[in-house]
Amino acid sequence: MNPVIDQERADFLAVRVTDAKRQLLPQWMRPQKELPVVDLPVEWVRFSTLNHRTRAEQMREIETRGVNDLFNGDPMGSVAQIAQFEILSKQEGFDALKQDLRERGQQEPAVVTAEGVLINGNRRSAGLRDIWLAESAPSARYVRAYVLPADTTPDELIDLETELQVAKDYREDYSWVNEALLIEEIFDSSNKDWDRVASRMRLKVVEVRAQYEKLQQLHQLVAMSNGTRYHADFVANESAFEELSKHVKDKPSGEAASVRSVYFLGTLAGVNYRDLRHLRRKDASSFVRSEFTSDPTLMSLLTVVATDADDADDLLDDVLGGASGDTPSESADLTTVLAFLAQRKPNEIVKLPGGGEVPVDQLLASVKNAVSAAAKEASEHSKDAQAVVAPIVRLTSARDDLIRAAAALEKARTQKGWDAPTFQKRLEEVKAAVASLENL
Amino acid sequence: MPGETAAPCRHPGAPPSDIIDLVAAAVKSLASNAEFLQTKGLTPQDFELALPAAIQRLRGSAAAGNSDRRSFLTSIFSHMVDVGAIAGFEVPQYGDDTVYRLHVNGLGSVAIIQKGCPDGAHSSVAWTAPEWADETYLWWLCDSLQYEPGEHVAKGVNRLRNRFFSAEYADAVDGVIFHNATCGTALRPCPKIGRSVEINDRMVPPPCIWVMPERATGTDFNWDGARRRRFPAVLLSAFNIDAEEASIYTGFVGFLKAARGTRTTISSRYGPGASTTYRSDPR
Repeated sequence: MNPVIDQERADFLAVRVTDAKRQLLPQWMRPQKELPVVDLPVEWVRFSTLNHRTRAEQMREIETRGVNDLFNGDPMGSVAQIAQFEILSKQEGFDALKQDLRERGQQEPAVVTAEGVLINGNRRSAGLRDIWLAESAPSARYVRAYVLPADTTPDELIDLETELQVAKDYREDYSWVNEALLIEEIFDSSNKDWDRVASRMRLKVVEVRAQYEKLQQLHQLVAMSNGTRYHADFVANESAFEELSKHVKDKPSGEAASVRSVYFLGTLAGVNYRDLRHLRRKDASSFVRSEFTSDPTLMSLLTVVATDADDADDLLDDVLGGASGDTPSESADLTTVLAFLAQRKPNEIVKLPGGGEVPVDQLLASVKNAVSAAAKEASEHSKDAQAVVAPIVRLTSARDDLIRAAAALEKARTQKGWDAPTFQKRLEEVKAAVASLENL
Repeated sequence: MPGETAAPCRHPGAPPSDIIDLVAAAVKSLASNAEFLQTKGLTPQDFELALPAAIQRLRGSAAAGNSDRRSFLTSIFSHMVDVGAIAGFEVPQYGDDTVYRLHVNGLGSVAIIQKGCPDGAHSSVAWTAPEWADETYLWWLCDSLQYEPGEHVAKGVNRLRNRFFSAEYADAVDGVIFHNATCGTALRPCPKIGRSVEINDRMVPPPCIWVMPERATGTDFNWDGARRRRFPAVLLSAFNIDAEEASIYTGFVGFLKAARGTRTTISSRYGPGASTTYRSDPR
């Protein structure tokens, strides 16, 4: 919550509100749901720095700039506001949103506090401001907005935000990371009561828990990177984190560590989650390790990271869960590779034994190649394993069907329409098939 | 596209498929344009009858001929002699199979079998490894932009695999090379262009080379790329890639027999941290 009311801004808005028409905002939780709607200069409104839609991007910006209070020190000040505007204008789909605003204008009012801070409609307002500043289009000069009462509480604000988020007409696409961060915040502030979180998010308990658990996996990878990777970097990897969190949920620590290290490595390297899912198995690390051994550069990388392993051990234990002793030996060196790569910027140069120098992004390309190949191998391995037992599985199924057929025969014979000749014909066909099988 | 990742490069200079369709439609539409054809001394019937043969002739004149390929390979081998990578080489006579004999100090004789695009049967199956050769390589000189380079290579390796496991043939090649005058041009940009050397006034990037498996019993044929041959380092040395670096510029082909059939792996390496792999489905 932006703590101090800016009285000058509040007074300005109060004057505008006086004679404003009122319009229904169904998501507003107070009995009086009709709120004043006014047109506000698009450069006057302030973006909410508490907007959960941008939480992950803000975390990245704070880390990158090294300014801890960038967004909450002076949230209405120009530094925070410009940073927030840049975040909003870099989000996916911003150009499409602007085009829509050019063509159709603002369809639904935004929502502002009594001092003109946008609770909803931040992205649309950023789009209008961008159009106004760049093109001076008159239609983008004002943003239409509901104005909340001056005594709105912080709890009411967060409730309204979540209500608007789930309301179809107002929904602005939250990235999964930002939605999960919102869930985590509500979870922490509601005495870890899943029912309450689900109720506020208008989701099922199982859905909010799934988002929360995905986020816990992402927290681990970000923590492992030691400040070089941010939550917002993984918005496109929702499926990978979802499948990982589901898989490791009830697995022994060794298997969980093996799969997690491979998933993290693959996700960092840009491997498609559809490929990664083949590596949801306890020997996942072995498959990847095997591919590493046939690539000279990756073998060199293993040598390089071995020297860093001692330093990384404590961090890895914290992040991947359990002591290193719990981790299968074949996955231990992969986790050190993971830590090594996660903690380096893509353009950082790594010196290999023998004098070669390779940028980290190039190493990640090789890792992507190796993990993708490992996924293909794991998939083939599973299919081969199925192929080996396929005749037995099918025979077992046929035997069970024959037993069921025998059990049903007596009753079927008493029914009108029983077709004895066809039954006999099928029986002969089965005998022939068995004879043919025996002769193979 | 299957096989695209068998080689490290792409054909960005190739025209898009929809443009090719439009050109094909435009050519076909000429058949009904009697007025235009008359100005060229043709009837619509002439045009329709002769079109397939004319396209064949155009294809023949647009593609590099055998003499162009010989000229390219000869220039590479001459350069190898100039820089001391090989002691000398023998150019085959016209009419013979196009097999070059390279004399390599400390290794012996290396046979280079010159072929066109790898996806043709003639280019991948119809060859014989000379008995005099200590190592033998197929050198595919392919200027076709019809498929991505990796797809060409994968098709060729697939044909080689059939030959490899066939009882009809006893010989094998030690490796395959995909490289011609198109490599490193705008039509086929090469990620190894930084290691190019000047040969006959043009910059030539190092060839793509893959070590092939050895005939043996069992189920695993160089699947992990462990097989080592000596000529790749010799060839790459002519492009200022020293022996220590050769392994990161040498790819490999492997086969693996399993419950559901045999699979192929084609792994390309093109520098430190730069590799790409294609794995086929079992067949």
